[in-house]
Amino acid sequence: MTKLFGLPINTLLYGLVVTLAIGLLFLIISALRNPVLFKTGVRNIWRHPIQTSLIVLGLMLATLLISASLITGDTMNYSIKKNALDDLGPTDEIVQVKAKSTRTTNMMNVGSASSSNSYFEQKYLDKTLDALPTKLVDGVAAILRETTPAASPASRQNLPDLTIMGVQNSYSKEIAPLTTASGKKLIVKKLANDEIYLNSEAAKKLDVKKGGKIKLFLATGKETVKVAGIFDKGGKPSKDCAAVMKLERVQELFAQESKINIIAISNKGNDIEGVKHTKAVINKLKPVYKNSSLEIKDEKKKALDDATEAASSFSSIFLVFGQFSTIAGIMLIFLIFVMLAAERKIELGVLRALGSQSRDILRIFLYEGSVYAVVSAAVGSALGIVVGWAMVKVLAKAFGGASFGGALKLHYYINPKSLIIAYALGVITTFVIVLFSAWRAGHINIVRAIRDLPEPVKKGGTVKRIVAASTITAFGILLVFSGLKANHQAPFFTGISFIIIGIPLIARCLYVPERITFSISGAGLLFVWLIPPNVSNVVFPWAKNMTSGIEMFFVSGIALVAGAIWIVMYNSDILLKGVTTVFGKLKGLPPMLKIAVNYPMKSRFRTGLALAMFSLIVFTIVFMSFMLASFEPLYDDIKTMTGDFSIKGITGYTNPIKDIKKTLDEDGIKVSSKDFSSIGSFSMAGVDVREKDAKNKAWKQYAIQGIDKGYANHVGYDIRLKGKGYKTNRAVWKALVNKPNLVVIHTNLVSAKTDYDVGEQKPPFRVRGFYRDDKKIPDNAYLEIRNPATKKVTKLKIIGVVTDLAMYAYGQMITSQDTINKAMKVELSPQMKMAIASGMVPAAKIPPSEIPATTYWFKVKKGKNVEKIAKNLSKTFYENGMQTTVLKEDINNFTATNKMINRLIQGFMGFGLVVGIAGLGVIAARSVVERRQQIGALRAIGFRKGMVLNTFLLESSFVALLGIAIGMVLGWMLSKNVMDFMAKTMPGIKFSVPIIDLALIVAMAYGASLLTTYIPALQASRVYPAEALRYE
Amino acid sequence: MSKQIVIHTEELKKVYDTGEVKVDALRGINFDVKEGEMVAVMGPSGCGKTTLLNCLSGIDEPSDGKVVLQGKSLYDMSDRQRTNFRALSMGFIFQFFNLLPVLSVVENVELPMLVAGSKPRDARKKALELVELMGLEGQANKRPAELSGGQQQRVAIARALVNDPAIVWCDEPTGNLDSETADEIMDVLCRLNKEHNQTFVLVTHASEVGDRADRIVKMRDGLIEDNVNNGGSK
Repeated sequence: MTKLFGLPINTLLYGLVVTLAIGLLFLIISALRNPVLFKTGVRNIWRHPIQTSLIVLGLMLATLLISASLITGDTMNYSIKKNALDDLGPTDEIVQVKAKSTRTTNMMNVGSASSSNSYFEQKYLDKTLDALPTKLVDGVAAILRETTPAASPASRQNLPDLTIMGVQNSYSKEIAPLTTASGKKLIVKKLANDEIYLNSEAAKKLDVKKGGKIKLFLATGKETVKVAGIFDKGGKPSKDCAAVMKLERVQELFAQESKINIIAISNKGNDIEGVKHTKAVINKLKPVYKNSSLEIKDEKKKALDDATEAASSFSSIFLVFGQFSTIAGIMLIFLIFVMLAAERKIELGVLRALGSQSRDILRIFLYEGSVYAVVSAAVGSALGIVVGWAMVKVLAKAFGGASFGGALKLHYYINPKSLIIAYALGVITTFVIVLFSAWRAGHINIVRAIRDLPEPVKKGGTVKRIVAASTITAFGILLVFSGLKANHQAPFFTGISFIIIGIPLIARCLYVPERITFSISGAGLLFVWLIPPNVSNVVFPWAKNMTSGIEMFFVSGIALVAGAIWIVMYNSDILLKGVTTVFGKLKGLPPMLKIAVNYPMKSRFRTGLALAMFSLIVFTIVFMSFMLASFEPLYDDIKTMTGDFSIKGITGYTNPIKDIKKTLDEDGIKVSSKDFSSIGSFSMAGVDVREKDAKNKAWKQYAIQGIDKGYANHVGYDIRLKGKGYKTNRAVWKALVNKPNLVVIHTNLVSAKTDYDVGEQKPPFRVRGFYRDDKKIPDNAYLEIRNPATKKVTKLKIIGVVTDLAMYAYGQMITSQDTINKAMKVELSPQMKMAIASGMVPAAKIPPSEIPATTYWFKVKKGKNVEKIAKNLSKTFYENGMQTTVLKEDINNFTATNKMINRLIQGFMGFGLVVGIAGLGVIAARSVVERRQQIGALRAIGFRKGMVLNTFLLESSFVALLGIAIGMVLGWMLSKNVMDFMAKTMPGIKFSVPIIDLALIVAMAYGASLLTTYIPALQASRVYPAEALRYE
Repeated sequence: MSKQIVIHTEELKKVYDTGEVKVDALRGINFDVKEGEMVAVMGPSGCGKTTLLNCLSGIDEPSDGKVVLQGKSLYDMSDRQRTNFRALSMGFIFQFFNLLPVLSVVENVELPMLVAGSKPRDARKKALELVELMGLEGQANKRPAELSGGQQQRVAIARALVNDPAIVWCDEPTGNLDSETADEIMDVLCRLNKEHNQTFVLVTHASEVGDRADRIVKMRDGLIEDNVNNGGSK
């Protein structure tokens, strides 16, 4: 990760460490100068071990969440980097022909090239070597790298894209020595012309061993080669399945005598450290290639940067979803110290009476709080390692079976910087809250403190209140204006919420009773955040066309919970009456119930804070549960996700299928065209793309798909937005193949007004002329694609936006094969035409007149065995390297992965529950101490032990169940609104009630809260009445 | 007709063992109280007055000896039986009132009845009658913090009497009140003692309180030093 909370990671790290060091230094000096105050503060830590344990538990949670999120990010970062390094090996930079025709460029393949324009003379190797000093690089190699379909005749296994690297002997010495599993080095110069070294991945997939033979399907014809060795390491840069041959032989096979297409450069230092020389290497080489068609690319640096970005997105998912828990954690820290201050009130009053200054009281608190902060942040960071490890385990399982882009092997990794950041953030956050609480504790009225009298209720407007109320309202107004200006809902509605809070506060200053002001304020917040979007559009017409993002979820959560808590706390008498009326008739319950509900409702601040913590967390988990349950039907809709195809088959570019139906009928191995109700195909080309008339005129590299009629006539993907004049999905698809220069794009390529994606990696470009939330596509929506070789620009009219659910069209631009062929056509010079006509140009060098289809889509007829047919297709098209995928299986793997990750996020959010539960535990422990005398009195007048125990448990139950109920109702209502809104743009979403999930949430939250309060409650019940009455 | 003995102790002892120091708070108390009697237990601080009251009422366990209340041996009962017995037969009045601050006056008063299993409606009716009897008309729905010390003690008295207990234990009932209010409270206690024939045991070191009891039991160093009929000035 390079950035966290918007700050560069190193800046954040140094900033935090320096702040922490200064804070601790100040504390140590202060403690040394005031040893008595220090002792007074820290001795409290040992006085109540259970309470201290709860405090440490509560304080450490925020650190734990941060630490676990960062570790997950570190693991992703390390794993993705490792994968990238595995692909590149020691290669840091590559020299290639400048962005030439990329007809066969696979977007996933680093620098793959095989068009006639991508080759250059081998002599550039010498020039490169001359320009680079040995202090910068330790290896330079000329490579001719090609991808081609390959098959093993013995096993009948094939590969559509085996990377073949033609290298010189020096390559294996300097760049990536080829090493077998047993550690033996494979020497390139020992290879005969008909021999090849395969890497273990390719050997495994082709099911071939040393000495076995494989067939290569080249544009010049088939070639059989013998596997002379299998290497485990080396053969870079390449993807999974790679092979190495002699350079001259590859040049011959691909008809590129004395030509290469890559110069690989390995910088001094290991695989990662080498990157630091990249800038110097590029500077040295720029003059060499200045007037040539070559360019030098910083492949390693780019790969590492991409990995960092991907990991950062992942970390942000957990940091974002952990925010509620962190907020709850901060509230808990505050609650703990407010209660500690209350507990020490008499003691502090006496100290003040004896001559201690306010700042001495502040110091006592700071010393105690700092010890808690330092210890608990350490515990939190350490436990974060464990939690992070568990999360990585789940993710590893999820990614291990991932589809769409292949499995990602995770390697658990901790960056010490992350731990330091988590620790420092934990200590500093706690410290700041302690400082605030300490400041409050220091400003006590001595008499009230000594006599333990409650603070008088202030009515009307004090200067502080007036300033606070005006500031909140003014801030709200400012935010509303900023939202209007930025056309964004988050600042707008946050501003409205602040105004809703601020105006009643002003009314309170004018002696309007608090109950009325806070109830109105609470109801206002609920109204703003819970009204359905169509009503909201009427009430707030200015916000109708505003954009919004995931932050709305967090703002809404906090505003809703605050509103609900205010209403409940300021109208507790109604609630009490209700509870006592309903349960008061149960035998033996009334006396316990009276006490259990009256105590928490009279301690408005602490109960409100505990309720807020509990509700906030329950709200998020419940909301998430509703979301998952409502999205569930989508995953079951395989037809929508696969476009109603059953099998996907990918073939190699160099050996395309000429006529699929004919081959199936004439040469099909236990398969014929009669097995299918439909067969469609895709061709693909790399183009430059930009939105017509966009402000940003820069071209972006992207791939475009071309479909045929077979695909258009069957595909079942829903067209979410249609162009003018198109009424049905089929009309759009048919127009695409029947009319030239039209395009359909995936939702992902269109900007969104409401963008709730977290951690999503954005595509290189997005259409900005309209939104995916709109109802139709404007008539003037065009994309421009440019042939990278000829620079010919083709204007494509956007006539459809494919639904998000089109899993196999994700992020795609789709047009017809005819349109692609025309756009990508290479005009041959008259000389070239003559040379071809005379047979002087080898077949491999003749540019193809059209781009062949390389992806086939099959719809298997009802009642046929899809799995068997998929296998038979592979066998039939074995020479074309066809790799088949049964789409249903693929989707099932994908949804399983998705569900696992969603559950993990939900579980991660559930950590916040520990905060709420710890909060209840702290309150219960404190209540036992606070009410000792009252417990004695109750025992004296006839409360049995069990009744005391039950009273405390009932009290905790009341707060926990109220918190759960508030969280659940709010989560339910908000998710209903959100799901109804989303269902409009994503048909298939169905608001569902996850009854089992909800029952589990209630049982776990309530059960755990009872367990935490049981020990203090038991202690309370065991106090002998006389002993309790003596207690002061 | 001679009155029955409702409180009887035999060699009642209580030792506080803090681990380092042992303190003999009661060193063998033998003492009887008759039905309807008002007895004041007096003596200097630390003589064992409150400990005696706690052991007599069953809210603290003696180290040795016997306590018989209304013919029942208190410490032969289980904790549950003893607590139930306390709820039905005893009332408590403390120096610091020990009212529940979150409950209203009437809720505090009705609490022992609810604990004893009375119906909420009956408990509320009886509590309101007592609140009125204590001269707290119009204060029923107030919280204790809104009342004066004297008023709070009246609430505590009402709470002590709500179950019509046979015995009322009072630990420094006027200790936290000014002399005028203390007099008023003692007037109330003496009136109730006379009108309801309830037995009152008061722990006090205020002579003006002791003077109004039927009998004064003087204690010193955990033993009864003197046991004199006062004649009382109730």
